[in-house]
This record gives sequence, structure tokens and C-alpha cells, in this order.
Amino acid sequence: MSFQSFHFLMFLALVCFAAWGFGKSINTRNNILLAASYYFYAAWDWRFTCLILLMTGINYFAGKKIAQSRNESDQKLWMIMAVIGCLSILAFFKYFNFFAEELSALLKKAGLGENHDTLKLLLPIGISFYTFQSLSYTLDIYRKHLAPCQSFRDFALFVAFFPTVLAGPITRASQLLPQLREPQDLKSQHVEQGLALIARGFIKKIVFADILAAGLVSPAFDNPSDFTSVFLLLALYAYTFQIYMDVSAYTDIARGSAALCGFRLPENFNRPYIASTVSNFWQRWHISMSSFFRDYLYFGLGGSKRGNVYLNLMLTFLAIGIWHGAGWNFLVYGMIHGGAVCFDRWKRSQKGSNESISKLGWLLGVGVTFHIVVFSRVLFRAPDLQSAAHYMQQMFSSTGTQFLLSWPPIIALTVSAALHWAFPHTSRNFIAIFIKMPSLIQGILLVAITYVLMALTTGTAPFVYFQF
Amino acid sequence: MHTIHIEKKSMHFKFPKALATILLVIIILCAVEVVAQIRSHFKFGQSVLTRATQERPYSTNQATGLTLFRPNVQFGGKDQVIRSNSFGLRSNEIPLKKPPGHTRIVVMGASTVMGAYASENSKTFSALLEDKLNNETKKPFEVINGGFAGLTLKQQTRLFDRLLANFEPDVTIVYTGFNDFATYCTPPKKPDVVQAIPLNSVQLPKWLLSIELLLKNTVALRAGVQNESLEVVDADALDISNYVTDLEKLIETLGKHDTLAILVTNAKSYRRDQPMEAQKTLSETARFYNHCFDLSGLHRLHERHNDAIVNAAMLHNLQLFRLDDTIPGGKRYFADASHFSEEGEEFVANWLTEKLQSSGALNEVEK
Repeated sequence: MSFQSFHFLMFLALVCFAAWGFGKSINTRNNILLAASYYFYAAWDWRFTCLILLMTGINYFAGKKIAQSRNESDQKLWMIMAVIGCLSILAFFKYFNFFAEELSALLKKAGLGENHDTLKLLLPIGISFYTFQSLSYTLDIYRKHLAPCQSFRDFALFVAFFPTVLAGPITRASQLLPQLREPQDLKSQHVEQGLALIARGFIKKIVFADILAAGLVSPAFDNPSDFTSVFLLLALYAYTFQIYMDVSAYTDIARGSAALCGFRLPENFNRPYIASTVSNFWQRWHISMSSFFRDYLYFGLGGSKRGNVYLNLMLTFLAIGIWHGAGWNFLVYGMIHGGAVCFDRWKRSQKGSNESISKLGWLLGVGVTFHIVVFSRVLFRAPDLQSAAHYMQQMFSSTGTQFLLSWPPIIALTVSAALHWAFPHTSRNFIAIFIKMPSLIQGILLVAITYVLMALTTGTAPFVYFQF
Repeated sequence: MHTIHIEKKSMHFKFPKALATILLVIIILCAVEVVAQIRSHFKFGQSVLTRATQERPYSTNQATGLTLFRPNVQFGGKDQVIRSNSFGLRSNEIPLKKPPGHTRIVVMGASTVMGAYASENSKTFSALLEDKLNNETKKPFEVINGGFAGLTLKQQTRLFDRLLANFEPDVTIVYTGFNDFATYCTPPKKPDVVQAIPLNSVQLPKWLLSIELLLKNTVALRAGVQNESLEVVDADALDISNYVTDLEKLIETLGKHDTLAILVTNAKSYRRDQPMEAQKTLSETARFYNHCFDLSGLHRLHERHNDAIVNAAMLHNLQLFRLDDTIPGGKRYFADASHFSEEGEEFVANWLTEKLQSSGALNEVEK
């Protein structure tokens, strides 16, 4: 069920009214939300609801066992079993096709047969997100940051909660579980904020992300040889803003949907392209995902306290890279970012953390960081490493002559950049101004936005992070 | 204490504000839909009301199994009145048996032949053709409008075989129209890709006119914003063999019924010689209904279909009238991308009158 569908609109309306109606009865409300969340996931492919249930069962059971275990070694054993169980399922569905194809190619090279038919697996949508979300619960119990959830139903709802199940934000158990145990505290402001967030999300997706994709990014990446170097560079900038608008749009709609049901989800982005270092970029980009890797992998490896900090950083970023997809391009993406973060760390250790930075230095840092992000994005967008290399090669020595220039994507790119750098508060103010408006204006505005968005979209472009 | 009281009071009244907003959104959306339905009811005599009361102007024709007009009904509104005859066609009542000495002409096709924008039956080019032939030749002609909206070539053949042929037409003019384009926009399933098995999804009801009006009038906005996942079909690489086969079957069917067949090439409002912006505007409805083609794809597909008509005419030694080369494009003769305006209906009627006489088709029939 796509967020951009009439089906979702009807679903959300029904769920919200049910959640409001039974807001005071926690049991009824949670039962409704759980059924709705499983229906939402089943709408994509009902077969994979078993997978989400399995993931829920593993972590609920492991969490309980860890809390019940008297000695640390037993706790560790249960934690390791849960991690291996969840990551094996994730790895099987996410990486099986990749390794099978690589093996097939290797056998072919070694002269051991021409065609090796491999089992093609369908990647269950959102598996990376709900695996991490459920795993964070077990790890938090193991670290004694969280008490185990007493209700399997509530835990199942936490894992499958429909706004976050497909593409995050990866919500920690400590953020959502307490809200599930409380009666509804629904205020008008929450609902208005939810409506404004959803409207903002759709504007970001349809007016910016999809227009940039259709007008600049897709033509350039589909046939890089046809276009001039300048166009390919422009398309890469466009992709940088497209992916930001797309992913943050999903987060807005997810947060808005949750707010309509009376729940609060964490913010996931904080103007990532004003980061002055790559480390800082990862504190601002997809915060729920990067903080998961920081808290559970980087700190688990020892962080800066145990072992080699640079090795720990590199391993963390390699994991971030391959979390995004099975392919050498994602591995190289992780290496580039890991290398840049290691360099930041080394530079900081040389200068000392208290050294102040001049405005010009900061500006230079923003420029350099932004361009590291822009150029590494080619690995993110290209289907494989060869295509990414071909794109870069064309960008520096293009043989193409085409330069597609149409106003909608150029305007979308300019406005995206201006909103990010020149008018940073516009996006946030949109919510505040919306809440202050009288109902009549709010209603007219929402209808106008609905019609404009319907006129602009064919409603079929999926969110970029669905593939992860 | 006073502050707390205000706080509580404001919280109590705040939730209804959000609810009021949601209700307002629903009310505005419904109001727009009601306006669109009323407009359609008065302009064209069709609305959700006519659907609900089962007064739909359409019914299944027993002889053909096709949806045609309900026999002998008159419906419509301010802008258009349609009267159907006892056979469910937008044509005068004509007895099955041809009176001696009369020449019968059937014009077969889809909505363009039916007269999608003709305000009344007498303004369709078939009706105008009958008047002109009668006036100019001083001989009795009967022209039957055998067009009905939405018919594909295969359905047109069935309509002719099972209904129109019963009128024993001396001449049959075939104007196939563009409905077969839609079949190209159904994407073939890729066998090597593993597919998800989704649950059935809730779709917007088809009778919602506000959405249809919005989408129809904003095609130009979406033209530059086609989604990544929406594939534009390459009209040059497209396999049109089904269309060619259907055309062959139609010609075979016409041959069986001993009628002089005349093939007419399809004309459209947007033409390659117009400025690009004009072409984009004029082709909006075509791009709305055939969403998998861009402008150049539509031009190309149109040319390929017309080439198939020309080839079929040459192959079977049939008369061919090239309307696409004759009628100018633009808003004067077309109400949208492919349907004639009333001036266009007049133009086609005059042109056909002249062509039927100058080509010797009428003399051939008289012999």
C-alpha cells in the first residue's frame, strides 16, 4: 500500500478514527493498531507477514530470556542468538541474490558451466528497518537500558507499527513502547501537526523529488553517454536533493500518520547538507539509522575506548554501506564515507577538539563535505559499480551532446537548495503557521494541496528507501 | 488558578478545531464533486444520479453483445442532446429493408463517427452527409451513423457483422478511430522478475468526475513530470500486428456482405507542422487516455496505424480517402485531440460528399 494511494488515505482515516474512538482503552486501541499494521504490511505481500512475526517472536523471546537470566554469559548467549537469528534472515533475503549471482559469474569465469540458474528471492519491503527496530529492543535489554515488554501484542505493534514498518524512521523501543502503554493523549495540535507533516511530505515528494527524478536524474543515469558533462554534474546535484527530499518526505508522512494516531516519532533529518564534516553529516542524515549503527555497532566494537578507533569506524561505515543494498557500489560508498570520517577523527585528534573554527573555514568545510556527499551519491544511484564508474568517466570526459533543459526540474533544484541553505526555517515554519491558521483556511489549503499534487503526480513513483 | 482554567478550557475546545479542519476538507471535496456532477448532468445529461436510478443511457445490445445506447431514448443537457434509434445507434430510424432506388451508406467507427461533440444528431457528419448527398445529387440517400464511443476495431467489425450489415449498405465508410491505442498501454508481465502478491487495493470510484476533470485538464503539467517507474512505450518498436490482423478481418467481413468498402485515414488535432507548444496543448486528451506515449510517440503510432490502413487499402484494392492529409489540425475543426468540433463535422461531411462523387464510388454503386 503506497502512501500516495487512495487506499492509504482510506486506511489512515479508518485507523485514526478507530484510534481516537478507543483512545482511552489501551487494549482495544492497540489491538486495532496491530491488526491495521499487519494489514498495511500484508497489502504489499501477505506472505511476508510471517517474516515480521518471526522477527517479532525471536526478539520478544530473547528479550524475556535475557531479563530472566541470572548470569551474564547466559544473557550474552541469548543476545548473540537473537542477533544471529535476525541478521541471518536479513542477510538471506537481502544478499542471497547478490552472492548467488557473483558465484554464478565466478563459476562461469572458471569455465564451470555457462548458465547457473539461481533462485531469485523477492526482497521483503522494509526488512532492513523492522529487523533493526526489533533488534534494538533486545540489545537495549541486554545493555540494561530497557525493561522487557510484558505484552507480546504491544511488542508486535512496536515492530510492525504501520507508519515506520516500510522505511523508518527506525524507532527505539524506549521511544515507542512507553507511548503504547499510555492512554491516548490526543490534542488538536497533534492532529493539526500530523496533517501539516503529511502535506509537507507529499509536497517534498511530488513537487521536488519526483520532478528532479523525472527531469534531470533519470535521463542522466539511464543514458549517461548521451549527455554533456555539465548536465551529468547538474543531475548529480539534483539527485543529492532528490534523495533528501524523498527520504525526508517519507519520514514526514510517517511522523504525520503517527501523530494523527496520537504517537510521536523521532525526527530523522537535520539539514544534512550544512554539515561541515562528513562525521557531522552522519549526525544530520537519517539520524535514526546512523545512530543505530553508532550505538549498537560502533560502540559495540569498542568505539573510541577499545581497540582501534579507525578500524571500528571503517567497519561501522562498511556496515552502513551494505545495509543500503547488496552490491559492490554500496560497499565502496561505505568505504568512502568511512575513510572521510576517519580523516575527520584524525584531524580532530591532531588539532584538539576545543579549537575554534573561522566562518570561512566552516564554509569551506560545508562545501567540501557537500561535494564528498554529492560525488559519492553516484554509487548510491547507479545500479552497480561499473555503471557508477561509467557515469563518473562520462562526467569528466563526456562524449554526449545533449543537455535537457526544462524549467520544472531547474526550479525544483533551485528551490530545494534555497530551502536548505538560504531559508532553513521555511519548512519548520510551515507547520507552525499551519497550526495557527483557522480551520477554514487549513481546510482550503489542504484541498488545494491535494488537487495540485494530484495534478502533478501519476502516483506510481515509489520512495527511494523502499529498496533498502 | 485562572490561568489553569483557561488552559483547560482551550484544550477542551482545541480538538474540535482539528476535527473541523478534517470535516471541512471532506465537505469541500464533496462540494467540488457535487458541482462537477451537476455540471455534467445539465451539460450532458449524465451524472451519478442517472447511474443510481438505472437511467443510464447505455445497455447491452442483444444482437452484438456490445454496449450501445438504449433503444429510442433521448438524453443530454444544455450542450448536447443524443437521440438513439431502435437499434441503439445515434442515427435516424431506418427500416432494415432498403427502399428500392435508395442508396445506403453506413459510416462505421467509434466516438468520432458517433459525434462526441455534436450538439444534436443532425450535426454529426453522417447526418450532414445524408443531407448534402440528397441535395446535391437529387437522389435518395440514407446514411447510417454506425459509430459508438469506445469501440475498438475488433468490436466495430462485430457491430458491422451482426447489426450494420443487416441494413444492406451499398457503401461502407470505415473510420477506425484511436481506441486501439489503449491496448498498447497495458504493460506485459516480465517473466524473470519475482513479483509480490499484494492484497486488493481500494481504488477511487470511477464515477468521480472532479478527479477525472482535474486529471484531464492537467495533462500538460504531468507531461514533464512523468515518474521514473512509468515507462514510455517506444512507438517505433511497438508490435502493431494485432491491429493489422483486426483490419484484415474487418475487410474480410465487409467483403462477405457485398458492400463497397472505403477506408478513411484517421485525423487528429495536433500535427507535426504546428509549433511544439500548440501540439502539446492540442494533444492533451490523447496523452491523458494513452498515458504511456509521449507526444512524438503518439505522432508515430498514429502514422503507423494510418500506414496500416493505406497498405490494407492497396492490398485489397479498396478506395482510400486520406482525411489526415486534408483536414487542418487545431481547435477550429477539433474539439479535443481527435474528436471533431461542429465545424469539423461540417468539414468532413462536405469533404466526403465531394470525395464520394469525384472518386466514382457512387457511380460504381449505381452500376
